[in-house]
Amino acid sequence: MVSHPSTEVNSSLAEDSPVGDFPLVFLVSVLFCGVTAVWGMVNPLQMSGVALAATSFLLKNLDWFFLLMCTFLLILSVSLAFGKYSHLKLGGDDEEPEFSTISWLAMLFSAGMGCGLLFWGVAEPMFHFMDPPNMEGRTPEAARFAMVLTNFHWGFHAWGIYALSALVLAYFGFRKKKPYLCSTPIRETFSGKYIDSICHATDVIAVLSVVFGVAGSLAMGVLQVCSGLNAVFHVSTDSIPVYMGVLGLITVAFMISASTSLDKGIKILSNLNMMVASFLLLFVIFAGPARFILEIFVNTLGDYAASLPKLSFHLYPYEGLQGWSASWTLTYLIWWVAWGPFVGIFIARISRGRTIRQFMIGVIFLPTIFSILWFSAFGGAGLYIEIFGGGGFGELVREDVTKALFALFEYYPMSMVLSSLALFSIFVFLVTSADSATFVLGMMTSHGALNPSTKRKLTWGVIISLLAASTLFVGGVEVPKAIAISGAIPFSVILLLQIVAFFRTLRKEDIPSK
Amino acid sequence: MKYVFVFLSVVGIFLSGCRDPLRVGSKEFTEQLILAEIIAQLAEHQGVPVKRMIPYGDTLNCIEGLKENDLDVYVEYSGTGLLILGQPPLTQGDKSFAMVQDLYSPMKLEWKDRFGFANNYILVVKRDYAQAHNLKKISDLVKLEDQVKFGCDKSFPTRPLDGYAALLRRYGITSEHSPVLEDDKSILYHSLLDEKINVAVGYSTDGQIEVFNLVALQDDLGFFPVYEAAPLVRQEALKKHPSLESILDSLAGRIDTEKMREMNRQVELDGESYKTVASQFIEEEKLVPANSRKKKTSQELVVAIENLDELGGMAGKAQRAIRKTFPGRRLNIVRTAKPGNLVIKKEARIALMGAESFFTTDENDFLAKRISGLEAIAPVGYRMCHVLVHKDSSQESFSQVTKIGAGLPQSSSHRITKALLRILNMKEKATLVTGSLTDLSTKLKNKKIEALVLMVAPGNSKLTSLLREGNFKLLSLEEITQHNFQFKYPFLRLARIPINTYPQQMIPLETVSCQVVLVGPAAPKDFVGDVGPVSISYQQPLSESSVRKINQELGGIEPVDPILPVGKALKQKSKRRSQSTIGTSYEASFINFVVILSLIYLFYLFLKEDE
Repeated sequence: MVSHPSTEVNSSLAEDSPVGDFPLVFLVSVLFCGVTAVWGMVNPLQMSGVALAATSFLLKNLDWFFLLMCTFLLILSVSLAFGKYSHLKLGGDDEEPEFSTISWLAMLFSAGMGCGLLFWGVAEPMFHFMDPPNMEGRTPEAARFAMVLTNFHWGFHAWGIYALSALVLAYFGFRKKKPYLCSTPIRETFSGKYIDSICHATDVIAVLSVVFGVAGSLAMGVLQVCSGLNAVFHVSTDSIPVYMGVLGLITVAFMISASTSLDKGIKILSNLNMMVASFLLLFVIFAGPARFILEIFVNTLGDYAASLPKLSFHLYPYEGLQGWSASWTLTYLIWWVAWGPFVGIFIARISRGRTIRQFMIGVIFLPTIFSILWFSAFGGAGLYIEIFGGGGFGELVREDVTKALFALFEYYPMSMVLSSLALFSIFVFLVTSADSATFVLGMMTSHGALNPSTKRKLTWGVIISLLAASTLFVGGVEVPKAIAISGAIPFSVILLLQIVAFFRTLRKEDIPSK
Repeated sequence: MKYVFVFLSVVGIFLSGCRDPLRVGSKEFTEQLILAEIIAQLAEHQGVPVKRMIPYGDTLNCIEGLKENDLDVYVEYSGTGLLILGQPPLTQGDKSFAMVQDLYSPMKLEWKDRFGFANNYILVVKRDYAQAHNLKKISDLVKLEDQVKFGCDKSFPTRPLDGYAALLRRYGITSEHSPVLEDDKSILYHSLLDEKINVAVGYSTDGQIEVFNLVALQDDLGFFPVYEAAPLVRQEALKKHPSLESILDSLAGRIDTEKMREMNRQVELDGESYKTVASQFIEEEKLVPANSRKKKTSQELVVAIENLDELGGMAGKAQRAIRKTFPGRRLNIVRTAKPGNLVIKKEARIALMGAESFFTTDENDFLAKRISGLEAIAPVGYRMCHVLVHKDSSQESFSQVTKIGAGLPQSSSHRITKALLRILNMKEKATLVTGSLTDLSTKLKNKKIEALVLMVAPGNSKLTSLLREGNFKLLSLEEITQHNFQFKYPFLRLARIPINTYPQQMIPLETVSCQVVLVGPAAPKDFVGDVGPVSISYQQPLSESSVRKINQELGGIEPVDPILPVGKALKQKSKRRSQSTIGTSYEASFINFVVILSLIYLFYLFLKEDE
């Protein structure tokens, strides 16, 4: 994590109206989070009922809009990569890229890998293999479709969303030298008497979107760590105190890393983590059905490319499967939108000086290819067991999704080692994500300051942990799941506004004739 | 560091493939699979690459495969070995084995040392039947005169020298019934348990013998020839794989009849995979050094059943269907008073439950209230309400009874009893006594309670043996037909227990019945989050393909009682009923309209030029 001393950024923010020492955005977001957390603890069923009802209504009735929007974002990204603005630099016109291409690509990988891949790497292909929409499960067609669906959820669309969120921030931040806030594009492009309130609302929504998304992922991560502890060390972990204990441990770890400027420490830890995850990947491939996995990889590349146009627009009006597409595809897409500002800021930070073309290709293609390989390896191993091995693995995954990865490792030699490594990896991913989240949130609630105060970061750390705790306390991920999606839906409107603002500003650029 | 490891493992994989693998084959039944797997695993521990051809085929396939160099080793039986060569099998083990070794060596096939058990034909009867007629040996069967009913597999009557006709001739048994032919061993044993046959022709290593507490009649005239098991191997293979000889020798005499029976039982009745049973055997017998063992645990599948359910009855049928649907999973049968609760608490995956457990009934409710979280995935059978009274009891009908034993709290018998009391308006006068079956039956015998209510499948063996003791009789629930209980207790249906279901039951008994189903966790209501990435905290219901397979294995025609919630796979696809035939929903139209307007506005913002 490198800091950019761009002092001109901080000074132009006096027009934001702080209340005392704290900007309005910060106060409003904290208030909202507090209310939600309390409501969630006091009457979780009611709160999640309300939120879920609203969310399901929106996702089911506007499903065409969300799918179209995300596909549109992907198309936009590709057109930007190859259109007439592709040579514009994210920075001054003569700026050189801040990081070498190799480091940039490596950092992109690390941004892309997360505990989500570890968690769903085995589980999602198995789920879709057992129960594909509109198709019979456990057949070779189901296996093909399962791999394509999984990569549809985690591939180009996800990265297209991140790329655009990042691009907007990078463009306004590096090239136009404006603050790194989600409201910046709107403030710069539009005018009118409600602009201030709209911008504040935008920032608050963006903050809430990140907070709830991260809290939800943290809660799921804790469940997985507990499941891993159960699988590896046979400790009984199905109780609230254990969840709280693990969450507390993670919290302490990321608070320490957030409060000290242990940039070096975090960097070493996350590099180590990358190596561990890569080792797991290689092991799963080469100590397992290597030929099968590589066949799946190549096959999926083709299947995915061929199915992409179709799947990008695929809904189920004739079969009445809105429930399925709302639960899987749209939930994922909206979740990525919610994470947009968070991942976007990271990608933006490391991409200073890159041209739009380099940026788009690097951010969209490479992580997707890697994800395809990852799912081919982990999902492929699971599919092998189900189809050619003893079978019974799919049902196991259905019974307890958190155990999927560890159950897979039991089929491999050195399973204890693998499971322990996976456990370590998940833990470190959670810590680093939470640490980055506190940083991003601090930034977003400090007028876009590149070095938010430690106090602010720690505040957000505490809030995220409390939210995650309140959900685990009531024994499920209902509360943040409901809120994460509810928070993400308004954010998609903001994303669209940002994009309109971006293109209007882009139009004014002078394109040097070739 | 990790690269070194990867490189080494790749090299290792290559090297191991270079040598010729040892081809291990087997016949198609459980015992053969286990023994072949044991040989294969031992060879692998010695570093010999193994190609498993388990199963390879029937007896003739295997011997041909061995002769034509398609197989290296499989397990054969001395008696069969003689039969293959057209020789009459012998009844003396050592002589038989010596002969077969002599006969096979010119073919370059060698019989290694015997495992220590023989898998002979035996005649099996139910224990109470044996006690009733004092049957200990096959000669005792003549006591039954013409009434003995045999059951055997289809090939048994066709065997010339040790088959059905020869057996009857040797022992002087006659029977007016022709034998019931059934190839499926479990169905044959069930016919024995259901008393459709009296004597079953089984194998001495069948696991069912112990589980069902059966008696094997002694072959006092030494009629059946001996089939001792031993590995049959190509001499060429012994030379190619020098460690093979020591492996096979290490198994000599290590497996006796009881051990083989136990291993068969683990696979056939407990649902364990034969590979796991083989590796457990190797571990227990310490045939390989302990630290080189790879620990492979098969994930357990927990199935909950009620205390009175019998593995010989519905529960056994369900267990077999589950086993076939989830290959490779070890079944753990847990007995509890309320199996559905274990599923809700995620301690069991599937439960065998009566329809009454889907409902909770309160005093003041008019209708029964459904519980949520469970769905029926397959119909298994029916339980009926049996009311036992003392044989000297003077009470003519159930309504006159005041002290009733009702089973363990929360069990199906208990709930049905409470339901009955409310239906028949007996709540004020009657008192309920809870306890286990043995407690309550003793109380009934000592007249401390006046009646005992049991909700079990008709023909339940515990009930039958209680009635056989002669102290009790069954009461008919005539009065239930006068009352209307369908609203409050929709899960109860009227039924009759036919005559002679139980000893000395001369009249059909009027009663209520309740369907018994297999139950799994239910998906939460259908909105965002019942599947997909946010639903991980819920226990997913069983997959549709598994549900279909269970139903297929159970083979029932009757569907699940329509009042019960069913899994998705069993739901009838009904057309969606909407408010209007054109599907107008005002909220949906409104929100879509708003969104479209906003999109148009956004597009306008994009096109607008700056001032």
